[in-house]
Amino acid sequence: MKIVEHGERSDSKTPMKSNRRYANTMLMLVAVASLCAVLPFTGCKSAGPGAKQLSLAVNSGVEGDALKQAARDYESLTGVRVNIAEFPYDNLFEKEQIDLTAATGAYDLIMLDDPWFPRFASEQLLTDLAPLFQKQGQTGPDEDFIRASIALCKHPYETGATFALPYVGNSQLFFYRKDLFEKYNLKEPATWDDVLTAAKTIDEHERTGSPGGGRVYGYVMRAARGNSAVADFMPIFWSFGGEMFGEDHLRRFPQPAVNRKEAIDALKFMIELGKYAPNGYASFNASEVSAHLLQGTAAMSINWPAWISAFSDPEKSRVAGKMNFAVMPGARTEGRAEIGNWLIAIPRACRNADAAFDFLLWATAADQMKKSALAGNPPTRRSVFTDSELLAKFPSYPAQLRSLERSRPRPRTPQWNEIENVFGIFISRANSGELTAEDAMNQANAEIAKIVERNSR
Amino acid sequence: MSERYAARKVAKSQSPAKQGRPGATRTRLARWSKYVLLSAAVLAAVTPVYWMVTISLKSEVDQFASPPRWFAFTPTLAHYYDAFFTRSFAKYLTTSLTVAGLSTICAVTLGTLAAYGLARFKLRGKLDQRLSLWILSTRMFPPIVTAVPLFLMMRDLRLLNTITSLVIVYTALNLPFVVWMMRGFFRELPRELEEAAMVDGDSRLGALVRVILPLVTPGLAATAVFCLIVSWNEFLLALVLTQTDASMTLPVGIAGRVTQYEIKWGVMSAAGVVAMIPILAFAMAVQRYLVRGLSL
Repeated sequence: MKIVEHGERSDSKTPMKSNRRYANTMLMLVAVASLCAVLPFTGCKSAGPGAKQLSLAVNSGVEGDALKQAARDYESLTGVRVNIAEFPYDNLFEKEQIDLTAATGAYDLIMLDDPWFPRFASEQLLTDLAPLFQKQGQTGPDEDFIRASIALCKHPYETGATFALPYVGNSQLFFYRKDLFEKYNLKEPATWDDVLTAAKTIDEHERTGSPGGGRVYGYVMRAARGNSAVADFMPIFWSFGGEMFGEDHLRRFPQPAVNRKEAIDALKFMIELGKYAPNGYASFNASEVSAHLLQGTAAMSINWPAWISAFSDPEKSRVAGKMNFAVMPGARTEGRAEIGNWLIAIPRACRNADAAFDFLLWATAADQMKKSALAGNPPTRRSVFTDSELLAKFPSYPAQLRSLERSRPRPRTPQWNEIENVFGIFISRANSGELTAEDAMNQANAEIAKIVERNSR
Repeated sequence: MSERYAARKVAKSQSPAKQGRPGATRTRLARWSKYVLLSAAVLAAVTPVYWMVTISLKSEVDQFASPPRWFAFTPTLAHYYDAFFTRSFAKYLTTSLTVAGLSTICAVTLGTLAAYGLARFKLRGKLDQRLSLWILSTRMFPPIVTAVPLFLMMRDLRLLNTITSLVIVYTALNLPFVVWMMRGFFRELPRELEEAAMVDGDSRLGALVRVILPLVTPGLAATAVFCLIVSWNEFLLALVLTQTDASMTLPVGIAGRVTQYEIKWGVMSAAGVVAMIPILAFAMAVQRYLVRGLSL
């Protein structure tokens, strides 16, 4: 192609010599660039099947940090190289979903939050661990694991085959200010009515009682749309006798039951409790709730064990040493916390299942789990919960163990992410006063039914 | 100073007789309202930075104090220690510097050459114009649509978790911008300049390097700063293409401090403060070109 300068006539018969040189230079550059692009194809080849290495997808945060440390120890112990890919919590699910569905085999082991498990397991994306246990001469996970945690790793829930092992044993706890409870002669709340009475009392008497001289709110909760509102509502919902699905809950596509009387009563109770919570709690997430608790401006809340250690550190809390941690209060039924365990599973497309399983067993064994616990992760083994060194360091362990043993999982449906999102919107709107409890639950029920219907097609 | 001078000039022209009281009042009012507006703008720009710096120096108990503690708090370097000594933020910083630096150099070099070609030469069938539009069109779709294809390509090239992959992608991301910016700058220069150099015996490339480039330095500086900022702050593709400590960039590392139950504001702010420094330093170094480049 003839290249002509702007401003020149294109039929010019004497193109400048340097024009051609410029074109040549550009051609050369293009050639070099193409060569660069081709080089990687001809370069390295992947390590062969004999190469001992594993790849692991972990969550950014204290849970992932502990597993990373375990991987490094395993590396120096066995010589097996463990490559770690780390993702923020919000991105981990989609990353694993893409990888598992495309069966790329990029990861030999994945860390997963337990609500994701039904989705992965029902789509047959995980390796059944039974044959691997057999190869090791074992029948299954040992009895030391907490039953509630192991139940999460089975598909169907509690009864099916094991597809994962539990690594971090979070379950919600009830946080309350023991100094204020003592001051007003209040007992550790056993029921939600006790909570409401205590919230009223503290709210009335502590208008200037916070360390900053401001008001101490009786209760604080997360009611922002999505996971936040649902997580803080579920313990109340369950204790009032509410259930996400009706009698057909064991069917693959059950009908929702969140507009029954028990469920509406539970939401009404939550809104009543909200009268003693800081303004704007209907948009609160974990940060706002924890800020209120740590600053001493709220007396009670539901929270996760990750926050316990902050309440013994004066650098982090203005009410250090004044917080107690208890099991969930009840109402019409026994109080039960929501469980939130981190599991480790082997994707179905994994090519080194034996090596991966070896690491899995090693990382979830009692001595490794103790190391993870020392770093701040609640364990999933009874023997670690009752370890004397850990008990001395974490005085709340007995309460955590009781809470975990009595905990309940979020409904085990593959559509949970979608359902939680919708349910959370209506709970939040009811708390902000936009909808009545009845309207919110009726609308939520209709929307959840649509999700189930859509997925059953 | 110059504004005050300008204001005075305006005042003079509006009221030739100094005693013209109503005009003077109006001018004073105009001047004051200008200052108020400017102060508000400065405050709006500086407050977030101030807030980030102080959060990085506050212990958790002070971070969430209500009412907020603007000045009265005991500063601590614990978050900086946590970020750069306990965690791998120093490594992320080096990776970010390498990636942003290399990709800016590549994009500006390649883009400038392409822009010069497109500005100075005509191709048959208006191909030069079509090429320019085609180059720009690669910026018209949201980057997310390229994320998965790029991931698959880099995986097949075995370039996942490497600095090379990010340099290639960011260069591609910035090229259209560089080409269009620089094409504009080149077009504004009369072609007689390089023709004169070539008449004196210089080659086309020599004329470009010795005569044209020095004249478009402000434009180059402005373009380079933009490329650097884009590469420095890019999050989405970095998240898709890198996951290991050794290859992670600062934005991805910082986002990792938003954990499941807790947001580590202190560490994030400490890393954010340090992340600002290289860009600030570069922008200050090229500042005298920058204003001219932006107003060219």
